[in-house]
Amino acid sequence: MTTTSRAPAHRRLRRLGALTGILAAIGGAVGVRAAVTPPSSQALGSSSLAAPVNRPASRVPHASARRRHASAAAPRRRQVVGGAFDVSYGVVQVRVTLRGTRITDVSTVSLPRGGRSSDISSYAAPQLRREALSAQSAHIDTVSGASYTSAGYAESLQSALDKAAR
Amino acid sequence: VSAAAVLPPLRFVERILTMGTVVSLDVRATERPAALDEAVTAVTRRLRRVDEVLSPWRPGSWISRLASDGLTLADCPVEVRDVIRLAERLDEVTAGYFSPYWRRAAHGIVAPDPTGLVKGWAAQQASDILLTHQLPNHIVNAAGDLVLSGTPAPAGPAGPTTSPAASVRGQVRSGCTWRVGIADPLHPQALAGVVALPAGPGRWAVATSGVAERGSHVVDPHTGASPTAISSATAVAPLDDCGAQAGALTDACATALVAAADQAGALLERLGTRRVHALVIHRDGRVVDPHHLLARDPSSL
Repeated sequence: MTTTSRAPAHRRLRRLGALTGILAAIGGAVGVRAAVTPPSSQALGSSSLAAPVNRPASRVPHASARRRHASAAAPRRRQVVGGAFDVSYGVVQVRVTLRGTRITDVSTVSLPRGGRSSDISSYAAPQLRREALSAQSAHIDTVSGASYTSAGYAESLQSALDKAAR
Repeated sequence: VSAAAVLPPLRFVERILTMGTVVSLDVRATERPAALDEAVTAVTRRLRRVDEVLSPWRPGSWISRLASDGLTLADCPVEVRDVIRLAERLDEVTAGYFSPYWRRAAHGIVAPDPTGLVKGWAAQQASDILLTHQLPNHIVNAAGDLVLSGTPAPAGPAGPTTSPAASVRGQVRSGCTWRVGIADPLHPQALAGVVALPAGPGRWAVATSGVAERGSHVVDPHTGASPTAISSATAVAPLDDCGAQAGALTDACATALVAAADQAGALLERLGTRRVHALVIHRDGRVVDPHHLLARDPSSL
């Protein structure tokens, strides 16, 4: 059994800046496929782009990235807010941000344990944020962490995706 | 010289929104795999099915109906029976700190619920599908629960990827190690460290559970209490024989370690004898890592 104290703050991996900027940076490098109703033919589009390991595609004018860039006509950015779901410990509501049919962010409008909703980046869909983390570091392939999957979160996210698909 | 020999390894990332969360498929290859779209469609269909059948949040799922309609396991499809049996076995593996009955017992309901292992189990299902589509090098990340397969930097058909341009950008890596950041439960936008896993022909399962993202909703099945002494637990296991359910195993073990609280040390030892290596991060920041999984300075790797 080994017990160690935590590394001091300055040795931890450096914190991320504004979430949105990072998500924008990796937004072009990943595809999103939403498992929503109605079925896939009408659901959010899906695509994937190649990017060199751990580099945002936008910084490397790779052939397929160039193709997409040429064909994409400045997709509209829009936000969809899911339903508010009462869970035993408060109300959960999420907001999905899309660029065209691509989901670039999932954040929370309302969460239990009051007072933290302003700190949205700390509650944004954990995986989107973690992918931003790994995209920031050439030394990390992926990130493992505890997830936010309460009933209310799941239901609000699903309802936002359903709205977005309409 | 073929294009594959010049370009650095590529990653093709697809996110699937399902199960109330995000599942990422990160496929590594030297060129776009022909079977990628078909594989992603197959995984999406599979995960959607898992959600429909096993979600306790969906009133019509078999898991919900086990509680609401008085069904028995014998009434359920075989995949439901398999997952619940697996959950019951993991109850024994974890000395009772993971139980398929803990969530509903709190509400006075005696019906099984596989929450706590489904994401890891589903990640492995997704990885299996990628393998059948000849995509051996990949990561499936199901909201923090992972299966890693093959190598992060596969060599192209013309040999290893050592282009001068890639070297200049510092992108060439050995290709023999997966580096998995472990989210810091106390500082949501930082990493507590990195777990390095040897890449190769086999697969790994990695799962983290804790209170970081959702407040404390892990229950000790022995007491019904929600212990908060451990902020997160990460479990790692090799997934090297076909019958093993390492995805579900690591997910359940991570959950069990959080539930075990001050008994986590004994549980860590018990799991170690079953090829599950794990670490826990306490609420006060103390890290217990008997297998030395965690490199504390990610930048040195």
